[in-house]
Amino acid sequence: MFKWDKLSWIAAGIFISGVILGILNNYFFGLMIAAYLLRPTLLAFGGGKKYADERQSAIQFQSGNISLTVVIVAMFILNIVEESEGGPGDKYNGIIILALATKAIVGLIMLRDYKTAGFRTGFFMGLLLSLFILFSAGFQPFGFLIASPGFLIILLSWLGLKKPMLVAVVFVVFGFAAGIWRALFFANNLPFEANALTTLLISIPLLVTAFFFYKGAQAEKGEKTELAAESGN
Amino acid sequence: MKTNLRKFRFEKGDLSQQELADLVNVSRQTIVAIEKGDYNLSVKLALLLAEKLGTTVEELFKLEEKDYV
Repeated sequence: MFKWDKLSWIAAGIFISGVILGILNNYFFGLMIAAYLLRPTLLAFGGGKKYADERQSAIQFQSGNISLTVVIVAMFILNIVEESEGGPGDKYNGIIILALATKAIVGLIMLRDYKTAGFRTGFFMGLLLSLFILFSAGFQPFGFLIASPGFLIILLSWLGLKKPMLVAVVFVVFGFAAGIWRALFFANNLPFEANALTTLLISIPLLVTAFFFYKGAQAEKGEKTELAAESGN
Repeated sequence: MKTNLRKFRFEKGDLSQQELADLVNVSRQTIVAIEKGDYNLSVKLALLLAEKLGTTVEELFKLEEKDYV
C-alpha cells in the first residue's frame, strides 16, 4: 500500500468529486480513473518526486507492462467479436498501434537516442502506410505506385541517420502538408474517428519524426563541440 | 543479497520500521521488503539508509553466493 501523503489527499478529493458528479451525470468514471492514475502519471512525467517510493515505482512499472498486454489482448478480442458481428474487424488496431508506438518511442526518448528514435518512428510509419495501401489496393504495379509515399518515408528515415537536420525539415513540410491536404479534401467526408486516426497515424508521426531528427542533429552538434573542446585541452 | 538492516535498526536505538521509513522517505512496506531480501534497492536508498543508521553500505548489505550467478 502507498504511504498516505499529500498526493493521496488530492487523489481522494478527485475521487469524491467523481462520486458527487456521478449523481449528476455519467462522466464520474473518468474522474475516478483520474484519481487512480494521478500518482503513477505524475511520477512517470518526473513530478511528485518528494512522494515517490522507489519500490512502489518499480511495481508501477511492472504492473503497467502487464496492464498494457492485457489491454492489447482485450483489443484483439474486441476486433474478433466485431468481425464475427459483420464489422470490419480492425476497429481497435489504431489503439493497439498507439499504445505500442508510445511505449517504443518513450523508451527511445529515455535512452536519449534521438536519431534512432527518428529512424524507427519514420521507418515503421512508412512501413505501416505502405502495407495498409498495398493490402487495400493489392500487390500489383498500381498498388506499389500509390504506396510510394510510404516507401519515400522509409527511404527518408534511413537518410535521416546521415543527414538528420535536412530530413527533419522535409518531415515538417510533409507533416503539415498531409494535415492541410486531409483538412481540405477529406475532413468533411470522413467520420470523426477516421479523421482522428489519420492525423494520429500520419501527420503526428511525421512531425514527431522531424522533432527526433532535429534533436538528433542538435545532439550530434553538441558531441562534436565536446570532442573539439576535449582535443583542445 | 544478505541484509543487516534489521540488526542496525535495533542498534540505532530500537528504530521501528516506520520510523526508519520516514527518515529515508519510503513506505514501511519497502523497509519490510528490503529486510526480507525481497527487493533490490537503489544505490541512493542504500546510501541514505547507511547514513541514517551511522554505518556503511558494505556493512548493511553483503553479496551472497547466489548473487554471482
